[in-house]
Amino acid sequence: MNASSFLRAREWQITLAALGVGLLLLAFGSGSPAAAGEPLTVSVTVVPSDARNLACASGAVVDGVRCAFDEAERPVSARAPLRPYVTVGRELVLLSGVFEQEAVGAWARRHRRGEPRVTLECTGTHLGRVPEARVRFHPTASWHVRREIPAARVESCRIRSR
Amino acid sequence: MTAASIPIRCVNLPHPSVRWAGSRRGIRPTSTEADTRPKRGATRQPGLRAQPPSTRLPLRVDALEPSPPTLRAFFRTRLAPLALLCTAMLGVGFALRVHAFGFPDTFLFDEHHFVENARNYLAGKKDWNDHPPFGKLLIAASISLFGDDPVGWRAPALLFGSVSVIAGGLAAARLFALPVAGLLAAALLAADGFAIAYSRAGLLDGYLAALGVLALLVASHRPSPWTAVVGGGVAGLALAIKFSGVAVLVPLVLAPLLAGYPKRRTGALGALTVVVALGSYTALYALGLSIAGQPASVANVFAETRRLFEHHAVLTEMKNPATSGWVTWAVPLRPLWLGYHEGLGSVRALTSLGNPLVWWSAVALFGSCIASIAYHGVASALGRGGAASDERAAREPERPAELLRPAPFVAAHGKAVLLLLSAALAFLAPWVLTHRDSYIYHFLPSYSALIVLLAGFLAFSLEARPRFVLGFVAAAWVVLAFYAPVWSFFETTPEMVRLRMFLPSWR
Repeated sequence: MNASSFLRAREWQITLAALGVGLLLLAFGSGSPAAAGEPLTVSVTVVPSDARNLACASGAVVDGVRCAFDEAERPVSARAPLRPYVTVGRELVLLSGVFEQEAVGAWARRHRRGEPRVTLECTGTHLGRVPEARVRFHPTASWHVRREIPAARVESCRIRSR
Repeated sequence: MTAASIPIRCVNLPHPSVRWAGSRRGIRPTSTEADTRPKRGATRQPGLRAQPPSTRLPLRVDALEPSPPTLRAFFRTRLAPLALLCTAMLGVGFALRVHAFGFPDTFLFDEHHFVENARNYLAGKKDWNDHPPFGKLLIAASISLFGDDPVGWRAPALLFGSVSVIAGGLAAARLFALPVAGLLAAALLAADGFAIAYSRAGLLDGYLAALGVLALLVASHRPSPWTAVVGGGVAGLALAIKFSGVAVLVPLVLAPLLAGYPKRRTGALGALTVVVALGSYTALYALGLSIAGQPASVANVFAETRRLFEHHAVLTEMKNPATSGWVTWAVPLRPLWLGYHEGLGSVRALTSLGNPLVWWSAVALFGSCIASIAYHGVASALGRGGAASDERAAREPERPAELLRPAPFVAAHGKAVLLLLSAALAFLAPWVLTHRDSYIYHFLPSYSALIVLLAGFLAFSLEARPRFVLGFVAAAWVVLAFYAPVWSFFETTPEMVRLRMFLPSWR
């Protein structure tokens, strides 16, 4: 059997086609998670005090947005700073502009004395990843270093459940 | 091609229909009958008729001196494409088991039950989990070896998952006396999401499934006091992981019976297996109690066993949303998310859903083999069906078009089929016969046995329907590649997850 008849054999055609399809699926079948600049939806669970308690510290600036503290943990001036949140899928993310949304801000002010928990469904723009940041979930808590944290700018939020 | 070159080429080229079988002395062609049987649609090469007798002799495989196998010669055999696909499935299956192995650094599904009690053992504290200690002792040993981190929690699962693939391959090759059955079983076990998920998580059911497969490997040997002792040891380990591990005993006790041993010897070997199993269970339980700083006498083991048994006996409410009745496992209606981590526009997930093509084929084969045995009788599967049955069985290989039916398969490999069905049924029995809360992971040991059965069926069908078998394996490989993202925490998108989990109850 020469090389061409070897490759013409039906069994090899099936095998090579299957291997090709499989390798393409392995390489590209996962789809592309949202890249920087692309719109996205994210769901996070919050309580009113999160507006005051959540903070991150990093020198990184992504698309003009940064944490409220620099890498030496000194406060810096930042409008709608990045804050750490945990998504309903339990992933740590840095979001800018959540409590700056009118509806969310009004809800937080209205429930200043209580701690009702709600899920926010927000849409926004993916900003990429912050290489390294320290995060804390209360002003008196210690900082925890986290790496490669996805960040996004939130443009609208809907209070989904109470 | 010249006529004179034909015998020379055939020295390294067995006829595609030569059936290779395993033996204690290695791989050998079972017979040359297949060589001489005319293939459907094949035309005789005129050049062969023209050969003088002396040059035709080398066409008989068994008349040749063994020639060194070469890669080139191998790639010219009909088995080569199948072997290549199986190798790809084994390689990718292993890669999916180790990819992002330490992700997430938090607990998956029920891992906290077992890891926290492994930590308790390391601290000399009491185990509050409701299963016997061996599974958690394994995790404790792994934590001492690799550290108290995700790799430490999950390393035993990876080890047992790999044992399951290897033992499944060896068991299939021995049970069906066909090395290609072993290759198929190992590839299908390696490439199944159910097995992959439980090779990546610090959960007990992967250990149990691996011991179930190991018991099949033991049962594939000629029954002897040694196999009874080893099998009993395996059963003891399984029992010391979960009480449902008692099912491991069924194929082990059945093996001497299927070997046709006299009743007295069968009983003695069965009794030895059970005694060793109970002994090793008691020893392991006592070890766990003593490490936890509790009294560890035989009476204490008995009391703890009774306490756990009574606890499990009343867990019959099926209120947990993750529960699923055993009937639904055929689809399955409710696979579990062992992990689901949603980020910004991305998802990393691990599901217990198996390879749907393999799953549905294995379940269909399970049902049809049972139906075939119910219709023809157990005696026909054991080759004791009388003259008519023997005549039918002898005639079956002459009807290749019908070889995809289960009846010829059961007739040809009755003992192996009975052994595998008994293992699958034994692991199902606790959930069929009682109202105990059941979950899809209780099906994993049965499913592993069914994959070995499916591999045997495919190997049996290979001679008559090589392209069907190759097509099946090729499709299983493509399904593996399609589902890989949700079997190994690939970073993917919610849309891609929904595409794969197309049944609403899978999401």
